[in-house]
Amino acid sequence: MSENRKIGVIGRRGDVLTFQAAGFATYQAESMQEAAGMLRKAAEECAIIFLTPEYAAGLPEDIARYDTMLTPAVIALPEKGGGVGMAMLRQAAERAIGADILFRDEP
Amino acid sequence: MADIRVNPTRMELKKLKTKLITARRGHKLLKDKRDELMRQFLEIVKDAKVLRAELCERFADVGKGLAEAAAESDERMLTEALMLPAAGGELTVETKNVMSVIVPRFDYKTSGRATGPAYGFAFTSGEMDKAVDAVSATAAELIRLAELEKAATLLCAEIERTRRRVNALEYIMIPQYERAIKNISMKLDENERGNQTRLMKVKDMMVAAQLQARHMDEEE
Repeated sequence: MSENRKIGVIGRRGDVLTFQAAGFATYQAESMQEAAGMLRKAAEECAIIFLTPEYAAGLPEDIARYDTMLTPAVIALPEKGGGVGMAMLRQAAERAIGADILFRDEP
Repeated sequence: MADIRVNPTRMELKKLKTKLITARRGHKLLKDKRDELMRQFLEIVKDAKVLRAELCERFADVGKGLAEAAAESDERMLTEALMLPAAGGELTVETKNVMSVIVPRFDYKTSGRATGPAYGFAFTSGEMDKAVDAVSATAAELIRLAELEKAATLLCAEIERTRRRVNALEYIMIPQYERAIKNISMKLDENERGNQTRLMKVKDMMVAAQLQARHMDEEE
């Protein structure tokens, strides 16, 4: 594993442009299939991959493939109201603890 | 549930007893490991939850800002302006050991930030500046979130594995050993009793034979 790695963002063109300006590597994908391919490509180049909530929700199996690996970390971008990323976190907590004790108080 | 089938000998009994002790010790250790992993995991998840909630709030504005920018400025201009990164960053990946689970540690250093955006202000709107600025400003936090969530997923897998092991030891291995030990000792005890009665019977026979011999002597 090389020392310096990129940070990738996968999403629709309009969504990733800002990240490009902020210095992240961007992977444009206009469809779910394209996003899956981009994820595979990005996984080889990046240490962190951010997915837009839309794609993060649609590709659970592809994301799960990287769960046991050290890198890349595949994370859903934050969105208003918690959204997919929060749901993924909640799921992990539920699986580890066996019961939902952290997020219980929320809808 | 299948029991362990072994010869009911003292040798096997001794072996099984050693195995049972090892299994008990392993069970205790794994249980402690699971508890500690759980504690660490909860801490990480709590942090991640707070951070994500905070970033969610901030990101709502970013999306809105860019949408407004896109509406106001020319599509081609926007693409061109955002093509060049304003701030380059360097990401170093190190590893950290949490309860013998290796988790990544991301170190992000921004460079060349001071000069501001890499596009001219002439053709772009203020909304876009704000959106780009907001993303740049949250970069460090986003990376910290990625680190936390990755650690959470890795720990989650380890907790699951450890819990399965603890349960296998507690509900399958240890009871199996205990039953096998009980069976063998019962069998050995039974053999012992069988031997005892046989010996007593033989002794009775011998005593009877001796008595009879003595009677015969006295009669003569």
